[in-house]
Amino acid sequence: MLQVDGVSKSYASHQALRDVSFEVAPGEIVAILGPNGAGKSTLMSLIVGLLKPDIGSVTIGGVDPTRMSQSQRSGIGFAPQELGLYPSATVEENLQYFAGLTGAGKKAVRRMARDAAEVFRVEDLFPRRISTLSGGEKRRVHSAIALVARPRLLLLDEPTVGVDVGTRREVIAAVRQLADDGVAVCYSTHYLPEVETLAARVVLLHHGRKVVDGPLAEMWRNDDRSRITFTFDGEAPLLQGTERKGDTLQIEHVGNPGEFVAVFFRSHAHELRNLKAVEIERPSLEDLLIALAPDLGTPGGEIK
Amino acid sequence: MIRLRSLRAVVRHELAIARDHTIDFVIMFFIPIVVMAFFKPAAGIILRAQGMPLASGAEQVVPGMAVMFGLFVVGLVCFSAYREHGYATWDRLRVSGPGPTQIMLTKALIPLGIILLQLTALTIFGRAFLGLRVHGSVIAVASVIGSTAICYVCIGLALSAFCRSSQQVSILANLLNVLMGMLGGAFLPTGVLPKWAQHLAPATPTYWAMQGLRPQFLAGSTEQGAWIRATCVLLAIATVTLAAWRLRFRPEERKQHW
Repeated sequence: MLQVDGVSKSYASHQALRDVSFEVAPGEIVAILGPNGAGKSTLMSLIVGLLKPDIGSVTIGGVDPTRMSQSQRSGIGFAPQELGLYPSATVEENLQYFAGLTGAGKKAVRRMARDAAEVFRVEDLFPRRISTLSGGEKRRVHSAIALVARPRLLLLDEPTVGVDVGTRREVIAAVRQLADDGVAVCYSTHYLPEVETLAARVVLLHHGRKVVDGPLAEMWRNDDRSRITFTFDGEAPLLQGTERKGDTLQIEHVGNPGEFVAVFFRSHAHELRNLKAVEIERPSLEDLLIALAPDLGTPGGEIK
Repeated sequence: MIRLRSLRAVVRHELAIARDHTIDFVIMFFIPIVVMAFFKPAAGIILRAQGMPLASGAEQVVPGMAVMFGLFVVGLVCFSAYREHGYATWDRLRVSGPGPTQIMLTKALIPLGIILLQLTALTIFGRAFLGLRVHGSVIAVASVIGSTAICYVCIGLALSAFCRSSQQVSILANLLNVLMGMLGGAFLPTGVLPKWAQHLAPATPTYWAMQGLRPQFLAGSTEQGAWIRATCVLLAIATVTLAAWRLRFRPEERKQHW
């Protein structure tokens, strides 16, 4: 569906993207991650055809987005990071306007607006003017507009910025459903738990370069670090190679944690008399990404 | 057909936005009416002193104020474009519609309609209440009004491409308004302006609009055929400014709206 091939883009002396390549298949969600200034929005703009790459190519269904016909362009749904809505118009008018731009007839425009509204649950807001909506409602309408043309490729640039927990869940559920229906999705975000919920493939950008590209499950499989926590009834015993914190002992382990715990039990059976619980914690997505690009964890490069 | 329907969506949307600004357009109609009524006696004195004994003054103030206040459309064209940047809808329009050039041209149809309506309504008002009579050709009046409207809208498009912010547009549009109004003979007949101003006058579209319109309203004017030349010059200015817009228009350029 989408093919990004060796794309580089510069603004004056600043190189925003360097040799970035990846593909997105129908029904796949690709989470584009990276700190501020990593090149996520530039990449989105290139994919949608707002910018032309200096080097490399972007194709959607084999066609360069900057050379697409109007009907081909309708196959791309785009919700930029910045909210783009007409404040004095109603929600319905906003949706119908963008549906109308596809060249559809009157009846089809109404149906397209209603269908898109249903996905992001904004149909109850139809008669309200945008200026009267809350931030989360505006964000949902903004995302719904990207769906009016029933796109085959959907690009959502930070669709959950500034929204409450409920709205976030609704947006994620809607995106998951769209992918299940065969839509290819590029989803840029700073919120890593969303990526886990979406079970998205991760493309991590850093300083304009792609530093990670792979499914979450594979990333976890390839990282065999774990944190094993033993909780005791009372004060934890002092054991070599462990970190004691009150009633717990913590061990950072690399390798199979199950085997390690079995061996640990055998060799410390006496000290583990008062053991209450054992918890094996796999690294979070944040831990995985920081391990791959260490300065992501520093200020300015933060991920949430 | 698809393109036509999508452009119709742009027109409908722009009309809906224009409806929210009805009061602005009402002001655009009323201010020139007040100024016309105020200056008509003085304009009559000037025209009679210039050898037009039957002139009432309406022959100068009605077309003059109409073409001068019509220049407000230049700002309307620019703001209609810059509004998309202010609402952050421009990028979306660029990728979801029939293309930025077509969208801009279609958006310009609404200001074109407004200026045509304004020029026509003010002429009809002049005829109904200020004693304006068409002694020449109605076709000539319609032709000059039409070409003036097209010319102003094209100037607006060019200005929208060259300026970077609404503030720049506002300053330049006001400056154009005053300069073109004064120099072009919309305020006072060019014959009473200083010689240097009379030399500069033909460089303004208002001059050509007045050259085409005024003889149609003056009894016994020998220049009633001037409307053809005026129409041609106005359309030539429109073509040049439209070409300048097309050359300078960069859809990816960010404009600052207030």
